[in-house]
Amino acid sequence: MRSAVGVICAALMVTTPAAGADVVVVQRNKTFAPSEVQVKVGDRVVFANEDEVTHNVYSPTPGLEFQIRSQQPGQSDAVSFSKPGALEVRCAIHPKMTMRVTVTR
Amino acid sequence: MMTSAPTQRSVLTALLLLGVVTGAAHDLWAQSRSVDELKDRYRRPQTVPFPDDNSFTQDRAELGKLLFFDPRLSASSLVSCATCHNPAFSWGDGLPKALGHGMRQLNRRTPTILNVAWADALFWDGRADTLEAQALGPITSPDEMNLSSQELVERLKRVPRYVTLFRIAYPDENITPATVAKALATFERTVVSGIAPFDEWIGGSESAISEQAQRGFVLFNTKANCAKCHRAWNFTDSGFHDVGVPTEDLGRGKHLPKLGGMQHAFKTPTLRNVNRRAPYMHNGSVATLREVIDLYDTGGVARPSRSPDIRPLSLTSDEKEALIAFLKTLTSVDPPVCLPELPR
Repeated sequence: MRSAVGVICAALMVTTPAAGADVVVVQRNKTFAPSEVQVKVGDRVVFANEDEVTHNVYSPTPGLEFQIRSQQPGQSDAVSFSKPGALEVRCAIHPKMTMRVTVTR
Repeated sequence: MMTSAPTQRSVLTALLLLGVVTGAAHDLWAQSRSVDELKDRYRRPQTVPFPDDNSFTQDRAELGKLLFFDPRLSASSLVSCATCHNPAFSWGDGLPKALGHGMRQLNRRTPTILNVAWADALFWDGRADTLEAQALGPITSPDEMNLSSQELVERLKRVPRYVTLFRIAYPDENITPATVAKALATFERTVVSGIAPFDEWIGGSESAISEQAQRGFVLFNTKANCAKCHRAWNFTDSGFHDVGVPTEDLGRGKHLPKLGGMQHAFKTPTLRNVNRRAPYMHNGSVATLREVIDLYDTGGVARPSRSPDIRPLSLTSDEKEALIAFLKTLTSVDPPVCLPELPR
């Protein structure tokens, strides 16, 4: 897994060593699987690029934005969530790739 | 003279596996596959996709074709969709940059509408999610066709034949901006590139393309790294990348300003009929296919937003010629497009 330093997060989205549980979301055939996950504050979602192409995962949800810059095939990045909310997650390169992360207390 | 099919295949496979033509820095996925496996990725789909909320009917497609070729969809009544998306130029205009209302030059080249039925996002910067969302953009843009949606509807309602055709195509919806967009989108989805020599080769006709073009296909998938973005039968990933073209245009970055990788990023265009669609790139700044390959060979402008998939390639002159030979096999000889008789 790429180091936490490689992940760019907004102020409320800090990547840290695992404090809670990890939920894995894979990117394959330009699709997120699963397309919706629920986590608790402090948990991490690991975005694993199992595709043959580069992806660029981000969330445009106001107040909960984060972005993982170019993610090469085979690369994984973790994002942790420090406040509750419902996030839309997309790939900037492939606009049809969307999913939802719901963070609860 | 062509060698026999098994010999050709085995030579190409050997080139792949031994890296003779591919060099050290090519895709691992391609390196581990045979030519036949690669070819499987390029088979054409059997059907054209249409959305559930605007399914195909012949009436809708024919209405959309009338609208597409009708210059009354512009304020000047001189410019139709087909003025820029001209079937005689493979549904582009052959210009470096499009000309809009009052012959004003726009900032970007006209993209072809070939195979837009499969597009995930429209416009060079992807700002429209669907063809229906895209269709009215150029019509109502002051810089392009400059016709308000209200005037658009009023003009069409003054033509009795259009009133009838809309009633048949969209019986519960009347003439509205939405139904105009739906009809245009339906027609545009029927604009599909025809069977090219490459498709015949994929289908098993080993002599359909030259040995040089077949070497180009291997290079395309390996050392030249083209298939990283120009993927599958339509030769696009429907994605957005900064490929290092010299430009001040932020492209998708204008709509996603916080995403570093989207600055100067533009949609990957199809390569179907590409040798008939010069000049190239989003701004028409590259005149020939050879110059496009030369640009990619250098890696273009090195800037933070440039895709990590773009890098200097060290292609030889022979390899560049093989790539061009391959690209030319993607062009189909299509039947002439019949212009519709417009209702008065």
